[in-house]
Amino acid sequence: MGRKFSKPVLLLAEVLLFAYALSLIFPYIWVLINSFKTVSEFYNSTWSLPEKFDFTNYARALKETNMLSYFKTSIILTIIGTVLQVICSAGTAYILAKYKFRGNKLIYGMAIVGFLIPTSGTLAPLYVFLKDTGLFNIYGLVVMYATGMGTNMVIFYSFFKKISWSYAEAAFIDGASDFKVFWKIMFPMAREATIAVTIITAINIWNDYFLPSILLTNPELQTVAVGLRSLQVQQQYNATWTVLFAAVIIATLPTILIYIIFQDRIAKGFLIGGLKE
Amino acid sequence: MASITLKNIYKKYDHDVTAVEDLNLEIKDKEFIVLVGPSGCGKTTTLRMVAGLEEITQGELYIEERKVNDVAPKDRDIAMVFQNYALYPHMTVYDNMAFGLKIRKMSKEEINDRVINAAKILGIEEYLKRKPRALSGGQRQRVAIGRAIVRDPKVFLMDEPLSNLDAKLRNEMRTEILKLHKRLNTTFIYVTHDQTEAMTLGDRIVIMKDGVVHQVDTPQNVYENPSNVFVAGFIGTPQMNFFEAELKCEDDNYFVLFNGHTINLSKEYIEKFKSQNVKSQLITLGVRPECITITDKSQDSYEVNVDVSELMGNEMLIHSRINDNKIIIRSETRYDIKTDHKINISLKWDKIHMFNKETGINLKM
Amino acid sequence: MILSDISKIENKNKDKKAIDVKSHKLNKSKLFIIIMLAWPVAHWLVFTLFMNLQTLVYSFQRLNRFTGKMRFAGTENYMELFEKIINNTASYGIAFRNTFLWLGLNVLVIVPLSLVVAYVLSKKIPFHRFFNAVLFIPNIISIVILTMVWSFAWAPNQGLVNELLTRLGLEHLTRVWLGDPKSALINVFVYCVWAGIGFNNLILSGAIAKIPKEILESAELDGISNWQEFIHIVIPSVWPTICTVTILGATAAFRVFLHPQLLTNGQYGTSTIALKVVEEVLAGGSYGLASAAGITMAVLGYIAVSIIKKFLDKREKEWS
Repeated sequence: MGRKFSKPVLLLAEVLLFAYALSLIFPYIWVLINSFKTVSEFYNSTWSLPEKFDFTNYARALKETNMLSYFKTSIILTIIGTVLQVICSAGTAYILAKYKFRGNKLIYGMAIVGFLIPTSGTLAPLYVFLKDTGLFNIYGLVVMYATGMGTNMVIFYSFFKKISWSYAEAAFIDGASDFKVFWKIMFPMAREATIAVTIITAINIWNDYFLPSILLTNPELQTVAVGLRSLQVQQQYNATWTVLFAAVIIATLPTILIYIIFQDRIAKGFLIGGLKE
Repeated sequence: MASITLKNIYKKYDHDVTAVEDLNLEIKDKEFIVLVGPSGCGKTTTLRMVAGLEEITQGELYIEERKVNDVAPKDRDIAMVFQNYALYPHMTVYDNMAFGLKIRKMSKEEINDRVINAAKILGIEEYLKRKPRALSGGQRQRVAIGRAIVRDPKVFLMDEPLSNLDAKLRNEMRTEILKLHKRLNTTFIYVTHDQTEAMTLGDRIVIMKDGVVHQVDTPQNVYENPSNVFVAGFIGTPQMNFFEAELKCEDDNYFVLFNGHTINLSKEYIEKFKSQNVKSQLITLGVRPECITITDKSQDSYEVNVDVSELMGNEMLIHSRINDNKIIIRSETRYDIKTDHKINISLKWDKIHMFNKETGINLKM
Repeated sequence: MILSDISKIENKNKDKKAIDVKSHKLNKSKLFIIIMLAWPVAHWLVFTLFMNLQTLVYSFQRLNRFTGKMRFAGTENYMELFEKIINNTASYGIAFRNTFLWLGLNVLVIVPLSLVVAYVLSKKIPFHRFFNAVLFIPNIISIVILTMVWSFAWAPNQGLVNELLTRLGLEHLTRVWLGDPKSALINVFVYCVWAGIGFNNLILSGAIAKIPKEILESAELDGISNWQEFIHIVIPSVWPTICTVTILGATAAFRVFLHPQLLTNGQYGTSTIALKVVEEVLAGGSYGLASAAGITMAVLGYIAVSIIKKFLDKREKEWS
């Protein structure tokens, strides 16, 4: 901890940090409060508490929008995408970390170069490619998520490097196959990395906006993030803001709850995956 | 140069865990005092309270006449050498030593003089431009000490400074620290878990366990008159041998029943016990390994069975058993004593220690 | 930076016991390796190698809108891009400038601010756990929701900020924050700082927590002030981590497009070249121009990041 702050410095720091923290939280509280108001109540006063806690906006948000179907898409996509990405990354990392063969270094280098190249410039060929191959849909998204050579692989790689090979040797002597050794012995031993990577990946996929917004053209089959964005755009013409507020709360609530429950794990996960942007 | 007084010092964590309990200690000016004890005994906590790195829960701490409980560490005029040296890895040796002086806005010339001088004392002049990671453990240790020397503090605090060094270097540095103390002529407080360091370095040593001070005395006194079983067992290698025995008091005469023998005590003991009105009781008998001699069989001797004999060169240690009690004997080297031999020993009864079996307190104290 | 970090890890962990497929067990292991690597390598070849090469190819081609085929067009795309940037056609000039402003923002504002916050929180001041948790919230909530809530707060009517200003009697300061060329870019920048500190804070806090306690205590005994501690002890000690977050921030600056897209639709002087790339592609067909812009930005980004890295490494050498 080192030197403590003097009283005035400490006070200043606390005031500034409280102000910052408040600015991060208060907008949600404001949205929450206003989500219980009727439209006219909201236009009359955005600051007062609602006259009564009216869940009409929530009912409308669920009924008039495709919220539930957005959730369904997001959940399915996040689970499948995360599982595929985690397994692909772990498998690749395991092979590269534990098997010596010609090309090992090359493949590892490929992965590193891969995530050093800024990718937004490659949108044009990606767009054309997805159109041409019939992947301009949710399957394309799944394929894109199922990468095994991104930063997650590097995290797994350094973990597998640290695990002693004698566990595997013991299993080989017992007659286990290469796959069994990976799946039953080594992969479970990288549990900490798996948890960290799973958390980061799931959050990233759940929150991903850009690719889904391009690929998911079917309005029924959108993710929460994409669906909310189109709701927001619509509201600019409808001006029923309070319904949008309710939708925002519905969409944020699960994330916030999960964050409150698993806060330490999530922070640790991001710290382990610190390389990840 | 300063005396330090600790008065009824307590350190408690979270109201439950007591790290240091009712510690009283007067450290004289220019004294070399060593805090020693097993890990978790509160010695480091005590040192850190003197430094000001830990708050004192209760009690008073004086440096010279000034109460310093609430004085910031930097204003206590102390310097500390840490166990892992705590050198700034991004600074050269020179800058490491100069840093504390720069902070205090000392002139460049003065800083230079002091650093060069300290470097000379410690023999690290050649390394001044190097970074700590380019130094060996012993050299780093010198830099850490140098950083304290340049500050010219009233009190030197050292927290296990030698424990990261190998055995040979540790012996060397030990002598150097002694020389340094003579040369600097200031108060040293030195923390270690190693009783050899404590015995060789300290003017007085403070033996602690579980946050409580068990004895404060010169090395000689601690060795010869340990205040209780813990101190007796902690100081000295190999450890003191302990046996159960019985002290009998009959008609103003004291004697010990041990292993079927009745031993009359020397006059010195009898006088002492009489004056303190010591009663008959169960005791723990303490015998240092060098207070046992190998003899021929006689009426006063005990037969023991040799388990192992360890040849140390100039002397040997004989691990043996008397009935079922383990006993270690230190003797001059003899090649005829082997495993499973039976030998006869006798105890030097004038050098024996007697402790109350319940409390562990030395009956002679 | 990352590359060298990783090669360091690699050297440290040289695992001599790893299976040597050539000498030891064979066809089965070989088969296993091939099966395990087939998909990831194919994925990389298609989505990384092919896409990047194709971008380079596209940048020298143009879409023939009648045939739907790409045809060779020499440096036309690059010329068009440079012309647009110089003449500020369709705000290309502003977008180009903004990309570099973002570089400055990420490197010179967000990283130093995060470092100060991480240092302050490392002192375990009251509520530090609460602050750490709250500051990180922007990283777990979708950028869509974040920007939406932000625009609610800065909305011209009924928005939090304007309401607040009105109540404080500062009505003359109210404005259409995100719809006014004078304030929009600044507002988007403030958003980036507001939402961006949390992640860097987490990484930097992790590094600060690893500074040996004795070093800080030793400095404390030396009578160091907080400012001196920050400058002379903390910054040099966590410099490698500062380098990492700085490089990450610098690289990210060349990819920024979602923030302006979601907050202002890239209008009112807030666009970036990366956003232009997206717009050109989605608007249908200027693949060549978009790719030329992508390649140009990749090259400029590489140069800028290299310069920054050189500067950071110089310091690192001094301090290690």
